[in-house]
Amino acid sequence: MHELTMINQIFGLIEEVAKEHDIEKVTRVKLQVGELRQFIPSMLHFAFEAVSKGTVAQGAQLDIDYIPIKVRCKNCDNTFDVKEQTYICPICDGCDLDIVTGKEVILETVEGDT
Amino acid sequence: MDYKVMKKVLEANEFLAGDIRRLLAEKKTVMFNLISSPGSGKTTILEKTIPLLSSKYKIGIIEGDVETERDAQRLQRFDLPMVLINTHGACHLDSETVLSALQEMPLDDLDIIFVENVGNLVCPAEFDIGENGKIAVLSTPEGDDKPQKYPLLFRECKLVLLNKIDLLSVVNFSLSDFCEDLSTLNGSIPILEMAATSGMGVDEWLQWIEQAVQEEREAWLQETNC
Repeated sequence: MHELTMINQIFGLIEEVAKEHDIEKVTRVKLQVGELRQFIPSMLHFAFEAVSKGTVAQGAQLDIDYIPIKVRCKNCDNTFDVKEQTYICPICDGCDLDIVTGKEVILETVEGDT
Repeated sequence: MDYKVMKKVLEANEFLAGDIRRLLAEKKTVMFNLISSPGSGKTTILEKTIPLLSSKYKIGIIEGDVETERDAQRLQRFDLPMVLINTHGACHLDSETVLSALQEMPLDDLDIIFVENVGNLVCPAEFDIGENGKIAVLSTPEGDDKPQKYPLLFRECKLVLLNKIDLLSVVNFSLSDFCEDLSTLNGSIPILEMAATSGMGVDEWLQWIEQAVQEEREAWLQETNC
């Protein structure tokens, strides 16, 4: 249930944003989540609902954008999407890769009423 | 009203992890983060490693446990600087708890710190604690499918210690499938086979540590010269 750990962290940020902008009720939260994080969508929603109870974001809608895993080959500079967990460059068979996207956990927007 | 935030959720943790990395570089102390499931043999590996390394390096331990002092008690006999972090339910160490543990340690007198993270293959891989290398420990009874199931850890680590290799004939573990999956996931990763209780593979592990410490020291030296 690492989704709960992450949602707890996210709530720290949501509350900061709400305070900063005098938001009394958060109505919608949008996250960007990299696929390498292996979050289960239903678990994220469940954790969000559970943690939001009694907070400024109770009842808010949670939208999640999933970011695919993209890597760059250090040998030939080819950038490609990782499919079926195959971290091998299709051009040169290189396996020394930099992760370009896929590890994000980003609070993108907070929507609410002041 | 829509407020654009675009803030990394783990930013606070990563910021402190950066502080830890700078502190370790300043003190010339190399920190390894041992990550595994519960019961894979992390404490036993440390019990075998410490006496063999302590003639050459001054070692410190950060012991992460959800509850109890049991692992810390097992390592107490070595009389090393050790800080126990009981997370009381949290399934991983983070950079805040590790930084406060480091502040209690005599870093000027330490060459290597081993962090025994909380037994879990998921969250400890997500939380950077400023270590110089993550080491994934997997034991053969856990099954050969773990790299595919927990790709983040097996992508992020510098070494895989495959422990309890002496049980290979009695457990359902295909060494060839394991190595093949791992090479698809992280082709450059070294795998060391080990049976910590009998001492098998410990010499190779010690050599890997020496090499990793040497590389880290050379990197620090280069940064100083730049």
